[in-house]
Amino acid sequence: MLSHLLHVYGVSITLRLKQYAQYRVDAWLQLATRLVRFALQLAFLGIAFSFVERLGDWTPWEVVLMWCTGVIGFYVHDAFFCFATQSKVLFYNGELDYALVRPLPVYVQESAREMPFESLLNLIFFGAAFSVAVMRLELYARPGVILWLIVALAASTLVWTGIATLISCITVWVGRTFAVWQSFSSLNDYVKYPLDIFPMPLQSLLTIVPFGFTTFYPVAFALRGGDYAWPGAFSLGVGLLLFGLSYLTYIFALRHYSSTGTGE
Amino acid sequence: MSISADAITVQDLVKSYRVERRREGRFGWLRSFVAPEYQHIRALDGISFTIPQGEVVGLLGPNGAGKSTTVKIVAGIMYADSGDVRVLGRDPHRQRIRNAREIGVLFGQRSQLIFELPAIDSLQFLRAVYRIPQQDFQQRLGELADVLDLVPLLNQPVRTLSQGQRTRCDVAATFLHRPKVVFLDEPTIGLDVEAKQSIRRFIAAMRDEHGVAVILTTHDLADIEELCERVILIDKGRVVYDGSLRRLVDRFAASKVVQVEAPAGAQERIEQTVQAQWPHAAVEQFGSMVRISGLADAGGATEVARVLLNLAEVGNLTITEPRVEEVIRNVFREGGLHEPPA
Amino acid sequence: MSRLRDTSLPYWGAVTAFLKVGLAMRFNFFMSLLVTLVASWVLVSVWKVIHGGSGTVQSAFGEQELVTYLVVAQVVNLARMGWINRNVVYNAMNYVQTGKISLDLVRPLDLQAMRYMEWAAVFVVDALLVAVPVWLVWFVSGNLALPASAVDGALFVVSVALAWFVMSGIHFLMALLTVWTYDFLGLMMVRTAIQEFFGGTLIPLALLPAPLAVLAAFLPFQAVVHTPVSIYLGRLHGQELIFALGVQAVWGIALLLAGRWLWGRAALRLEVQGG
Repeated sequence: MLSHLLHVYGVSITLRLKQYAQYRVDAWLQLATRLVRFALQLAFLGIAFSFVERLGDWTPWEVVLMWCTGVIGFYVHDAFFCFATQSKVLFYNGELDYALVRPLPVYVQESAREMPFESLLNLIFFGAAFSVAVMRLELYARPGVILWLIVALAASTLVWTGIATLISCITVWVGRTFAVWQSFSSLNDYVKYPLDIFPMPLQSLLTIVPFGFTTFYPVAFALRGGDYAWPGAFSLGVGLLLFGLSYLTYIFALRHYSSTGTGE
Repeated sequence: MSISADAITVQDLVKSYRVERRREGRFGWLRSFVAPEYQHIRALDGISFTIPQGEVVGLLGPNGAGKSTTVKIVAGIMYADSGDVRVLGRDPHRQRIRNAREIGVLFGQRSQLIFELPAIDSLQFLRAVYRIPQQDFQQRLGELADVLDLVPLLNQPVRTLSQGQRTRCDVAATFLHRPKVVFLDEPTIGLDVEAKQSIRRFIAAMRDEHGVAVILTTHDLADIEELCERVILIDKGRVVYDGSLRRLVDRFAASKVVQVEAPAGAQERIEQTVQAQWPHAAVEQFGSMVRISGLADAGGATEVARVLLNLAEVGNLTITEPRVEEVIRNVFREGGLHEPPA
Repeated sequence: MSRLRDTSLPYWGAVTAFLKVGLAMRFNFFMSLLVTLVASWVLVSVWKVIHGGSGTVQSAFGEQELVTYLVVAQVVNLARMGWINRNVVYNAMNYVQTGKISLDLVRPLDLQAMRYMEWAAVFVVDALLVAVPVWLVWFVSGNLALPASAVDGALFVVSVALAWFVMSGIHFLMALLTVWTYDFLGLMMVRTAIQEFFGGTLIPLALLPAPLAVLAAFLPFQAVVHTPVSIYLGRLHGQELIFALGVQAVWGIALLLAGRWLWGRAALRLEVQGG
């Protein structure tokens, strides 16, 4: 079964790339725009650290590491589980009819079919920044830390996939949910900072929401250990919980899917 | 492999939708903004029918009658509120994936092909999805391409195809994995006569050679006339007729149609004469012919013929059957199927 | 008189239609408000930490002044992610890509004027439901300074109106670019990123390193955010102030003309495509 899924995924991605190849100008433009955006975000951190050596207790590369963990989780979700994000449109417009009459999980079919090229680009940029941070912090010699960083990336991916799927699936009941998702994803730009420099209420908010588990907590635990043991270890649990919850919602959403949104 | 004789059984399907209602009045939009109001609409109100293998059944009804909803529930796309559906003995929702291997679906208004790529790429994708061995794939593709005349089309990007060409590729995609049960929703919509013909021929061949069961919804009654011996009429979420097309026409066309040849000058007079005695009859003039339909019963037609033949100018007179289209339109105009009016 | 009514009524109709649509998006503005509140809270917190640890920043801004700059910049951020942006995305994409734009082409209305009016309506709704509430929350929490003087307050309003003019010009140009690229979302994102960086939303422009500050001065984005905020803070006086308002007006007009020119090119291309 799994090999079948991977095969379909592979075929689908090849077709997707073929599709993109038809719009060469757009592909270059996407590369350029994503690169500019990435550079500006990095420049902001650079400027902040031109005024202070540390943000709270954290060095520039540690902050980069936190930031990249959150962002990579986001783009892994967007590249490989894009049904999570896209399905709100599919649910809203009733575009799952064909997927539902094919002998594969809808989630897999649509994720493979709609894979956004730009997310792969972003993964390359942020992956590079992440690697540089690992080098600069000389973490490569510490397998325990690396292992935890991988857990952190997994947690981040699970949290993002979970949130995106949850929001998308609610579309079936409440109509458009684009605003909610856009709000969530746009806040992603603001959560790259170490949470412990924030006033307590803001810290709590970003813990509940739960961006903290995609960036700060797991990475802080990987870097500093003990002090952040509880929230750090908890982040994978939060990810799994959210993902599980979102999966149930997805099952329910398919039950309530009506292929035209309203009426016949 | 045990397959029950019935490809599809549907029992007491009920489905309702919730629809947001806009408030009326000057500040209606503002009130809807504050407190939206909802309305429940019952789309299906107890639909039941059975379809055996190897039969093409036409599903007819006015817009909003519940045809699409029925098809989508039977295909496993939507859930019913209550009722029971079996496709080849399986529940199409609980066993969606297994069921999906055996069925094919075509929505004429929505393509399943990737717009920017040649159709062959979409078919390759489906080959992966249905796990069709390469050898079988090549053989079936050859057959389909032959019958549907796809050879020159498969390597062109779908966006460059005409609608008729695209639909033919879509039909191939629907039948590629040799489904035993097929749902065709408006398969010939927007096509020219030739393309329609080729698709109809193909469907008939699939039924006759492979024993495929087909549910066909369409607005084009010529599709029905050529493919279906049996029709199911749905109105307001209920089955109002389920039986042979022949019987439906007979029953509703107990009223025959009288066609008579007459010079232009006499046509007015014929119309007046007929209307005076049979106020419910419809009289059409075309060319040198006058066509009188909507008569109460067969006796009526004979009576009309007798009266008309007494008029001096009248030429050739024939008593014929009404067109299927007229029959069906009559059924729904009268708001349901009753015994023909006396 | 009657001629004026004839030409202005359809536009007014577009504005009220848009207000209705805007209000019907009940939930979207609420989310926009939440995001703007959280974003401003995060930014203010980060900058407070930087301010506390840096003499350079302290010499440029007092703490309350810095907070006021950042919050007011969020308040007047006409490019905020949310309904404004989405609406532009949605409309522009739909209009140009589905060929609905050809409907506009046959209407006896000026397409550019229509869009500017629509965005004015969106802007008013956003001001009522997002901008003013954000400002109020911060003001009530006691972190925010009032405009430096009553005159500055009044000029701030004028400057915000000019900012809308400039922003509409940017929006219009962006919308037209969909004729040439499908990746409108990418353009939106990069525009937002550039605008936030060079407009003063993320970093007070006075704190940008020299080469970037020069670049910012020559981009239209500072006219959208930095200028109104500086007026609010009373940092601009006399000739400087008039010059800043003049720059806004010039950008507004330049973008309007650029939009007209590009619209001509885009319409030509649409005809070629058989839009």
